[in-house]
Amino acid sequence: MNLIRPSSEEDSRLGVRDHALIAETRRKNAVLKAGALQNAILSSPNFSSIATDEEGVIQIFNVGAEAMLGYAASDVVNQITPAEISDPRELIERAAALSAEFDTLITPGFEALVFKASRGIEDIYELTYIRKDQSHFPAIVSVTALRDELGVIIGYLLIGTDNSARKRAEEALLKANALQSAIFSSTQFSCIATDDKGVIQLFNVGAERMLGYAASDVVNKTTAVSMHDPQEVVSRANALSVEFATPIAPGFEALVFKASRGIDDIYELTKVRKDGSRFPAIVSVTALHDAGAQIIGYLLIGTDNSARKRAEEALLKASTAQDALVRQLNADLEVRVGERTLQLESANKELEAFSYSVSHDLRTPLRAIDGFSQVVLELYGPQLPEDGRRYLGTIRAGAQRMGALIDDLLAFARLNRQPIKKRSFDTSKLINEALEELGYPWPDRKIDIQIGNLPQSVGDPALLKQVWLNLISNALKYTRKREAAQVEIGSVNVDGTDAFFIRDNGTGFDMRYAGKLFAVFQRFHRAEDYEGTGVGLAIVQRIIHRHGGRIWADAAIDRGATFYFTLPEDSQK
Amino acid sequence: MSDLNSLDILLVEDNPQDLELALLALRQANPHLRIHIARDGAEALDYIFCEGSCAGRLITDLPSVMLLDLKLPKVDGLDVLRRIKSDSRTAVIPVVMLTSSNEQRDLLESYKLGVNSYIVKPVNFERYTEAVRELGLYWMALNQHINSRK
Repeated sequence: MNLIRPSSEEDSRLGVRDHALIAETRRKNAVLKAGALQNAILSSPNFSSIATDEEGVIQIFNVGAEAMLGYAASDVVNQITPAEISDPRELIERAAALSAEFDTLITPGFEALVFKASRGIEDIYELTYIRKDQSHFPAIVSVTALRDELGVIIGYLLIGTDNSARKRAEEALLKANALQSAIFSSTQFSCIATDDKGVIQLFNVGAERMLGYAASDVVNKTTAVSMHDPQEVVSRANALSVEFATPIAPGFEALVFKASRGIDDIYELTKVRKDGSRFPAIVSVTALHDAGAQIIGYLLIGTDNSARKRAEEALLKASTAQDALVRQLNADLEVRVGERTLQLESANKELEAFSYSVSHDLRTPLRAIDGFSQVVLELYGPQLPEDGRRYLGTIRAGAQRMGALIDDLLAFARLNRQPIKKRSFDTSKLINEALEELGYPWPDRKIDIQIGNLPQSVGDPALLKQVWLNLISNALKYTRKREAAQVEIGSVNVDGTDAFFIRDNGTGFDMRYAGKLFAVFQRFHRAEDYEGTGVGLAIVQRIIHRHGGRIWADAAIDRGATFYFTLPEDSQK
Repeated sequence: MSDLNSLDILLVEDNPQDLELALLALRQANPHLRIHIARDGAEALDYIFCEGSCAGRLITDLPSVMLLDLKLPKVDGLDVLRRIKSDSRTAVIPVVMLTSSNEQRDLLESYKLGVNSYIVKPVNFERYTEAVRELGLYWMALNQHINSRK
């Protein structure tokens, strides 16, 4: 250390010149210090330091100003005044206010920014600066006049800080305060603040309304625990004791223990009103700390949970009632299904007995009619006149036709009883078998039959053979009057499903009657033109429907007919 | 092949018209057949097993063929068939079932019981005659053939 320890002796040895030197050194140090401060301010990015000449034209624009305002110093120095980067409306307001205050006309330009400083008044104000990109930010600006040795103003220094963060904090605080006061004045929340022992310090209107006490009844008089179901407090204390492995008293401690440990705590419990009545509540507990993080109390915010509880209970009841109803309905349904099944079974049996009897007993008299007509013809034919023989022939034809109708009708009825045995099989092979059964290649007719590539079929082969037999024999029948019959069998994709089709160039039919095409005993042609019972297509449709497929036709009179059908592969029936 | 004229045939038919038509058809096929008639299942069994009114008959005197209607009063055609086919003395009699229906279950049941042939009586008389003649004569001839080789 080389400190000068001044003694009276040494002092006495210093001359006047030395005193002057010391004063000069002190002055220099002060200037140095001021320069350091100046430098620090001018080079700080957190302060915008803008120095202007006495007219306001910017002379210095530091890095902080560049950072905050987005201009480079070269953009503004000797170019503009700070008024041009300030909110013009605020300048007008400020000018108006200053004009009123000082009872003199102040222009809403640079003058408004520095007027007070120019009068030697310390001036710190809030102002909105406009950045180069035209965005705004709030600033706090301190303005100082710069003077020469004679005290004449030679310029101004405007030091600004970005006030956004503080503004935001203020706004947040404002909001928080609003929220807090909203909660505190809300009748929907009971807000009870206690001291660290649980003695109530604050009891808001919501608490008064919910619990039936006046604040004056309870503040500084009772603890919050007195308004809870004691049994629940005991249970809670026990549960917490177990959870935290430490004995917790079944009192106020049980209500705030978690909060006291800094754990967010929201729980359901039953509150007890002044009149002894109870209601379920949801309570959120927060510890209140002093500046030293010492717990000084607790805030208990509660909401009445009755409505939700009621809704939950109602829901539970409703769902219980619904369950019971569903069970009852199921039971009823089962009984009814059972009854229906029995009815259906008996109806089926009756139907079976009926068709059995039809097939036996209805045909017997027909045989007699036909048989004895024939016997008469054979034995007494020569003695009968021509007409007599013809009439007997007509009787026989009628009987035989009725026989055919009965047979077809029974075959049709049988389809419903017959179980469907599905498997995958070669469609072309089945069609060839059907063609052979129908007498292919029909040497006495000119029939061109084309069979395209056919996908496999999934279904009951015996029943589907019946389908092809009926459709092919129809095609043969209705092309009979064609010189050259053409029959085409193939498959096309219809709406993503393979549909089989059979097309002929026969006599076709009028599509206006297509709706009746598949009905039993519906015939589109005269019996003398085309024989038939009108059951064939009904059988075809029933087989396809029983497979879960679709069948439809497209035709025009004298321009042939096309029948399409689908067999869904996945149908399980 | 031996003389068809000496053949015995048992016709079991309850319906008088069907009976008459069957007789006509059989006579048309062979005028010299010896046709025995039973009008229900009980009569048919009496004849075969030589009971009741047929007590004097010999059970070994088997008919060459039996035409049996399915639906019969008293004892049903299927029961008659069952009795005949389950008795070793009579099981060899060829039985042709006559029926009005082509019900699958009747057909299956008949075959299970050992029926030799099955005729669905057609409405058309000529076809009926044809069927009776063909099947009846086939079994008569076959039976004759078997007997002659014994």
